[in-house]
Amino acid sequence: MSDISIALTGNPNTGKSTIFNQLTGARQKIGNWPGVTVDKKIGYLNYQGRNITVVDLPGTYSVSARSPEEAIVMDFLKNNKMDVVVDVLDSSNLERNLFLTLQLMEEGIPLLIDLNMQDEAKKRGLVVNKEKLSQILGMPVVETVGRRSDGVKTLLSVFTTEVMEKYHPSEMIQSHIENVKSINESGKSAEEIEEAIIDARYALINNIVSEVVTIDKRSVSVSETIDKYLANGILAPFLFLGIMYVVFLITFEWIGQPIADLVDELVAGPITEGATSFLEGVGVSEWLKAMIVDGAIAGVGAVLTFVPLIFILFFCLSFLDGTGYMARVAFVTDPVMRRVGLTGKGIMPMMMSFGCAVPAIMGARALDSEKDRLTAIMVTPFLTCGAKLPIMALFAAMFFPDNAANVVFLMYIIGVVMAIVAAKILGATVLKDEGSTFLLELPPYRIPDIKTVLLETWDKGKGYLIKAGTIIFAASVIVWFLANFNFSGQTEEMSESFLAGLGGIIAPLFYFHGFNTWEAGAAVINGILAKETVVSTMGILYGVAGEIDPDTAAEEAEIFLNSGMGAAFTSLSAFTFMVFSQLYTPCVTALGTIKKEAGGFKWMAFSAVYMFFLAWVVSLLVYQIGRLLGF
Amino acid sequence: MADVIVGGVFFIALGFAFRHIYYHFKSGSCSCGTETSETCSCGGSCPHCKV
Repeated sequence: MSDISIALTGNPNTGKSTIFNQLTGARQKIGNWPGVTVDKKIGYLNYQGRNITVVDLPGTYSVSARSPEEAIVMDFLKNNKMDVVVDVLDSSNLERNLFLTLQLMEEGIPLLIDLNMQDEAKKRGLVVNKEKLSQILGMPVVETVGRRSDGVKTLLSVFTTEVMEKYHPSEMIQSHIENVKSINESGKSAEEIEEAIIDARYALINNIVSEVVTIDKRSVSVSETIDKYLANGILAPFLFLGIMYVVFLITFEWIGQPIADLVDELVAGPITEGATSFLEGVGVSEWLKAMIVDGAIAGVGAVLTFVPLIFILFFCLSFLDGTGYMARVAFVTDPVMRRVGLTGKGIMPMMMSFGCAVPAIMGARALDSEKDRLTAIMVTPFLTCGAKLPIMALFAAMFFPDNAANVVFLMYIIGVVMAIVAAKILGATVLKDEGSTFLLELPPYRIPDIKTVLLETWDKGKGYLIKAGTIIFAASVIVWFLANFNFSGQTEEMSESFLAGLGGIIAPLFYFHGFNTWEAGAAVINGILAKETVVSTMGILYGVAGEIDPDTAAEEAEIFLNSGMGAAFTSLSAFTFMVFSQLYTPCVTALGTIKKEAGGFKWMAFSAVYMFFLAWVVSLLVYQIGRLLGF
Repeated sequence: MADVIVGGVFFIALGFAFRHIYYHFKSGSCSCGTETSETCSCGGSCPHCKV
């Protein structure tokens, strides 16, 4: 039997992705549509011996090619001969959803209607007569509840058994299509034609809805009741902060951190010790053992400890997204974000950036305008990601033992303020544009589909595992080599290594900052490879091996103080170093993501240079003003 | 002999990591069906790791 190709189309928030996930499971390929950063998802399944390919098209309200998503859908459906195009409708909101359906029918695209979210419709007391709808539209109609997998089997059997040719639009639809044709040929202006066609569509939609939808009872919308508190009124911003605080507690205290500690213990204990014993047992040379254990395992292990935090954070955010709350977050924070030059949707990348800049930069895809997306990409790396936290924790505990928590909190504030200032500066200069508007639909609250949440978490988080096994692995070996070799070969003295030489080259840049040592210079260079390595580089260079756990930073700080590091910094220069580390060039992985998401090398280079420059200027001011004030 | 075997395995793994980095940052940022930057127009994800 022949293979089948299916495309899924529909409005945003109709459960289209859930249907896609139910159909294809984990057999998906995720990439981008050509030329734009809009997700392209293709899934595969085998049903009754037939190979089925499913393409999940971006959610759109129409196909007028006003946005990249709309252009993609229209272009794809016109240029690819699909066996079946499934239009996924939200059964509780047919008035809005049928607009896209009519547009596709006007283009002559045969559809299969999936009346999804039947449960939502029932909750609202709405009953849709699917036979009548099928008769009017002239296409097969299937009812589903995607998140419970109800009706998905029926959908599959319709794919494989229905003969699309036997369906024909009713007279009502045929006369509408004729009407649209005559409006198009009326010779009026483009605006008048568009307006007339939109009016004709809504008139037809009202007729269809009045024929197929009946209201059984007037039920109170639970979503409207919840929104009185979560999306409106004075309490909403505080509830948002409270919910985010709980997400961070789950990630960094309750669940994520304990798992991260376990991974840390596993890497530092059995893995490192086991590898050392094995390498000594088989009798490899000392340099090879050091390269594998002190270079590769230590470097990769440092990143692996962050992986549980990243997965837990993404799980929480995907879960909240699945409940429908994230749309409210954008709504609640919109007034504040507009003052920064963004819209409410910009809050999500900002929030993610406290975990890691890489998903934050990728999360900027959700923003509607190119200007908003670039602004978010350019400013989110200023915020304090998880990898910067050990730097702040160690320096604060070493040089400000009585006010360590306040100093770390101050660094978070400095990051936020710089992100706001940078957004304002960029908005007034390189990213100057008219203010953008965004259309935001508040979907009803619902219990998230756990399968979708898990798949989204895996899709977003697997990049870290790949990064640890490739980029960090290679970078760790390079850093180890640079720290242990010079032109004469291997050296015992790190101060004579390549790394010391490189650190010494950039050290003069920080003459007026109070930390112009080659060790600080080397740590700054390594920090561009990965921010995690700033503290571990300091540890290696000052002879204090090991990683810094923020929870035990006070004890670690004592050891660092007794090393040469205590004498290399004053309180003021340490504070200046913290400010510089908070703000300077993002790590290479973040830079690579900027290149990909912003669409070119020039934005990556711009980001690297302008962040280094701003960090240099701000930390210079901090040090010099501090000196003037007598610190 | 141990150096040759262990070092060989380690450097092959390192070679794969560098190969990935090369594709990821240079020629491979493409997921629209082609595998080189010359023919790729999508600016998409790495053909090797799909990220």
